[in-house]
Amino acid sequence: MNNHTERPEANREPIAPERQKLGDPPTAEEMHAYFAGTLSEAEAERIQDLLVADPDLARAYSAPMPDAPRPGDPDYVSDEQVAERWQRLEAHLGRNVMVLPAKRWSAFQWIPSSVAAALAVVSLLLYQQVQRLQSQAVNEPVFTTEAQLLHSDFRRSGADRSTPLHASGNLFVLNLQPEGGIDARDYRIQIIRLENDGTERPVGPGYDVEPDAQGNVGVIIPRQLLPPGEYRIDLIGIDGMKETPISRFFVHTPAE
Amino acid sequence: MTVKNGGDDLFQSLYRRHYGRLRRFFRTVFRVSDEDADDLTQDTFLRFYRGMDEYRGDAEWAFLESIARNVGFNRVRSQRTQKRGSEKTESLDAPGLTYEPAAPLVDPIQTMIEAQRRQQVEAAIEELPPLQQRCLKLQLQGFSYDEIAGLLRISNDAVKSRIRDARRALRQKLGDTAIPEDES
Repeated sequence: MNNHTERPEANREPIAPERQKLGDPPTAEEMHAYFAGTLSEAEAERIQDLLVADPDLARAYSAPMPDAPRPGDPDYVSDEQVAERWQRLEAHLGRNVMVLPAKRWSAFQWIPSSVAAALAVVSLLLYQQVQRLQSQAVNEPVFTTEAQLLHSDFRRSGADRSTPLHASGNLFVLNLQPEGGIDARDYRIQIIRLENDGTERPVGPGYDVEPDAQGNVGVIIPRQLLPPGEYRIDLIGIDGMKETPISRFFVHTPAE
Repeated sequence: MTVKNGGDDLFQSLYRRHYGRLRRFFRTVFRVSDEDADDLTQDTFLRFYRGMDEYRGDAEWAFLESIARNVGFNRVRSQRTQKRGSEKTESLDAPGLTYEPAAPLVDPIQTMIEAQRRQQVEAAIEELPPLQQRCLKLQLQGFSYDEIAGLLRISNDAVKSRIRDARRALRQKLGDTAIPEDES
């Protein structure tokens, strides 16, 4: 069997123009449907052409799984390292999360109940940033006011119509109000920075969130995470491996 | 039993047993850094956790593997999308863009002949029936019969047959020397 990692780059060059012609690569959802055989013949053929034109995509579903690395292998991960990463994962899942210094945590006690569910998100978001916060701003006071309401708008786009975010101290305290009902098992938000040249850059990984009884989602985002610029916040519903966009919110943070 | 209902030990056990293997999968197959491989592995377990209700407890590795492949696929896909965006705006006047002279050619005439030959072969491949084209192109990229069969959702024998027909057609069109025998 061929070793995928040793395949010559030259083999991939001629197919780049073909990729351009075929359009955007399929989503994982489309791939799932493709392998399940539920796509139309035309769609299945388009996906086949895309896989042929992009071996890296094809490799995701065809490369053999390597054996587990053993002690001495360059890829070997020690038990201690795995344990450390396990702790990080637990923190991400919100089980053993207490990443804020007590002094800082107390500042959140009077957040309105509508965003109480956001506390897990606070922990999550700040977990990614806490080292920087601790080094740069741990002694600064944190003030929170009422959450800023954001209404979903799939249709709106462009800088001139996005909603300006108002910081509360070091934080943006937001209450996302999705359009229509929500009925997914789990939810995640993904923040995307929209650059002037049209590129989209994810801000960190996706973050698990939990809507309140009214279906609204409280989110508290450290100001440092959103430097001045345009952003889109996507609320995504997750049912097992299926991900469905529920709402999106176009916002911008003003220059300081 | 699910993690969410108290199967934490099971989840942790899966994590400890499979972390290294999944991390190696991401690092070698997708050629990502160690740090990115860690992130992708964590993302895989996170999704596994979310999908535990669908997990029946008897095919843990298969379930994990399918999630890992989706995670890797999404990674490549997002890179493609971002790359396209940046390609659109790239300009010769862009700051930091410097002109790198091409490396001197070893033999310009030979290179030209090879380029022409290559164009002929590519043009001939484009005239093949679609399924033959796909099979042959995947094989030329280094995919095995089994991998091609899986990707195109056809049998292994069908792949062999299409590739054999494709090579025969190309040899007839371009001459015996243009297309080497299939060594797979």
